Amino acid sequence: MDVDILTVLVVDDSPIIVKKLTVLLQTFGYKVVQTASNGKEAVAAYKQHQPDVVTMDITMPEMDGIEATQEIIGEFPDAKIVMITSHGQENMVLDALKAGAKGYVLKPFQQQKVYETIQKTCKRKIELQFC
Amino acid sequence: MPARKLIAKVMQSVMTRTHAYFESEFDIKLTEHSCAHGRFENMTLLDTTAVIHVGGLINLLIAFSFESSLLNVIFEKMTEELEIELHEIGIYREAAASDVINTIVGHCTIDLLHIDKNGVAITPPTILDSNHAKKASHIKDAMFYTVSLNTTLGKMNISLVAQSEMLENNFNE
Repeated sequence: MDVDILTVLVVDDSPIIVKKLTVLLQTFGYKVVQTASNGKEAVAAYKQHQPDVVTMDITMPEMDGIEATQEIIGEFPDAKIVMITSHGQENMVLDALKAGAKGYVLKPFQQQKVYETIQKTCKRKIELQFC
Repeated sequence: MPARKLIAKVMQSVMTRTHAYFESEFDIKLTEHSCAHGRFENMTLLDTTAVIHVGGLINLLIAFSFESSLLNVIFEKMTEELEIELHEIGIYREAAASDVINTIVGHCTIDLLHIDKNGVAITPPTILDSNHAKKASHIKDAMFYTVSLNTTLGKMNISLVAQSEMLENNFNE
């Protein structure tokens, strides 16, 4: 897998965060295939595009990011989901990891942290593919 | 935890996180100007107000109310590298207010976890309109506690809205 053409689904109810992340991910050379503003849209978008990585907010209307992660992982166990959220509670981090998230970035996010977390998540994918 | 202590802990956490966030993200220094409390219907709202409901044992509304001049600067800083169409500006200004409260209250949940061991649940932020105002007034005898903050760019108010016994205890004990 070439990390330069990673496909990404961006999920956040804030249009500013969606736009910021989209611009940032494009500067990394990734392709944002779709954006979603709640968990329900995220599940539908994942089924349609099956991107390499999902960036997922937690607190959203309709369906939150933890529930959406559970649904996606339930159907696609190899899905790579990175939480990008302002929730810093330890139990929320654990809930996200239990739901199947592979990484966690606290808002306001630092560009380098987003890059490193996605790279780490994708490297895991490469390693698994060659195992 | 007594209601008085709970309100004080929540406001202390919100204020600490707000000062830190404004300085690090926007290079804006806040100074505390005044405090007020009373019945919800008498609460002063500035030009744009974003609210989050904190659930569980804490169970109150947190409102961040901004003067337009201050929100304009926040909006400009948050979107300085983004292309925003003219017709989108209103939506993005409100999103800026929502992002500020969402980030700050999200960070506060770390401080407040010891109050509610089951975890502090928060709703997505919403912009306060007459429907929300009506909903808040249905909190049993809703009352508010506001801290007004000054900056060189404009004012903002941070308010907690809760049942009267929580806030009255806070001021009468």
